[in-house]
Amino acid sequence: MSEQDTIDFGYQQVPVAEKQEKVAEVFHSVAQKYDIMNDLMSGGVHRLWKRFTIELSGVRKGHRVLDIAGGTGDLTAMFSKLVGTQGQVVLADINASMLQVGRDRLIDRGTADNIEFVQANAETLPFPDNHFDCITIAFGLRNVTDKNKALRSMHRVLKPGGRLLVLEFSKPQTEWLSSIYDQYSFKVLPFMGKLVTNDAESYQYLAESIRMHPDQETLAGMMRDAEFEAVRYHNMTGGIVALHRGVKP
Amino acid sequence: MILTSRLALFAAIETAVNKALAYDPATRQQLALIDDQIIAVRITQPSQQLWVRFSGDQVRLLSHWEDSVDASISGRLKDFIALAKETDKNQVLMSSRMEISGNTQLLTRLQSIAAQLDIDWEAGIADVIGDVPGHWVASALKFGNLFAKDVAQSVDRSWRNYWQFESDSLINSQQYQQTSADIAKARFEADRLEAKVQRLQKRMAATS
Repeated sequence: MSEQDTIDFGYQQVPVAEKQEKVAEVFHSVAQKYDIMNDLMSGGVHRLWKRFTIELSGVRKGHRVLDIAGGTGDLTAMFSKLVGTQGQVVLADINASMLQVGRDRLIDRGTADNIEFVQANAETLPFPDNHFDCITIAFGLRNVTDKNKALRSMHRVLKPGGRLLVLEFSKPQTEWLSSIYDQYSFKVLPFMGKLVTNDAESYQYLAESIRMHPDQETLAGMMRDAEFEAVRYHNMTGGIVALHRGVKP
Repeated sequence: MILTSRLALFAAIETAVNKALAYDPATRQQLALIDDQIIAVRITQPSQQLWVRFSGDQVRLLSHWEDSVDASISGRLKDFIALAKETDKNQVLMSSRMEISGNTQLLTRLQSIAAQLDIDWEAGIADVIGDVPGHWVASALKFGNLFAKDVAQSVDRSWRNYWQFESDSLINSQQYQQTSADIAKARFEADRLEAKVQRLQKRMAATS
């Protein structure tokens, strides 16, 4: 098997065709406890990271928003209030279990009036060209098999002047934080995963996939390569997470 | 870390404000009428900026906003505190160095909403600790508040009397106003006199 035929799945190299299926297994396994685990793992700080994503989106009434890898619908719920009944939010996720949890949750909260649920692959988005005012992908890009293809696909469906926001784990900006974060990711996270979801492997994959994900500058370069302009990023919590923003010219 | 802390602070304030507003349905109805409006608030001393967004019947505090806003207001922190405290907000806006731009009608509307703010604290306390204890606590707080105001007024009056009558160090406000009016009148008459003298000097210079 040549090097081009394989791709990273955490620290493992797997055939390209298998990554999607392996990621799907991880998310099928954790879907029901996904929100609890997010709160536990981040101490609730993930809500602040998402809050900043909303602030940077510039979304107003009547806008059309695509929330890729939207999972359990945190961002979608917030966007739904902002765009109002004249606007639309599409919650897209490749994983049926995550989409199911997200849909149930949003319907239960009564916020599904202006929301559409679409099972879609970020690399081949099933939407017309120049369709959305804003696209977000929060903690999803690192699981995508071909990230460059996904960024080009997002560029295609975004309206000129529209924004892409990529919220993703990144590289801590100081050595001391990096070493604490390593200990936390490889020792505490799998233990928590075992305790709450009875699945340590999925959280081992989470820690490994974060380390394999492009750092801040590399991801910014990938976005420029996909023809996004005004690409900038904001480090949050010492660079553990970064929010990248690009505009379609 | 600073960004995350700022976001946490804003989230906490926003939650507290919206929880309080939950006990004032009339204000929430009024806020719903200015849905999707954004106001930029710039504090010059100390330098801080934030944005207030009205979303549905709720208030959102934003730490970052890169797009256009509907109105903006800037000034020193002490001006904003005065604006929040004083009942005559127009007086504060005129007397301070606050700058307002954009949709001023929106700010006027907000001013009127703020003036009519009437949060039912008793209901809020009752929701946490129960109806009867809630009523007792709210009554005690109301009584405490009135008592504190009464004591503060009494202390203020006593001190003023002491400084004015006992130590003769201060004049009362009527005396101050009378003296100010006398000084203004004297200044006005001195100005007229000076103008007359100048006119006479010019006339004398022209005839000589």
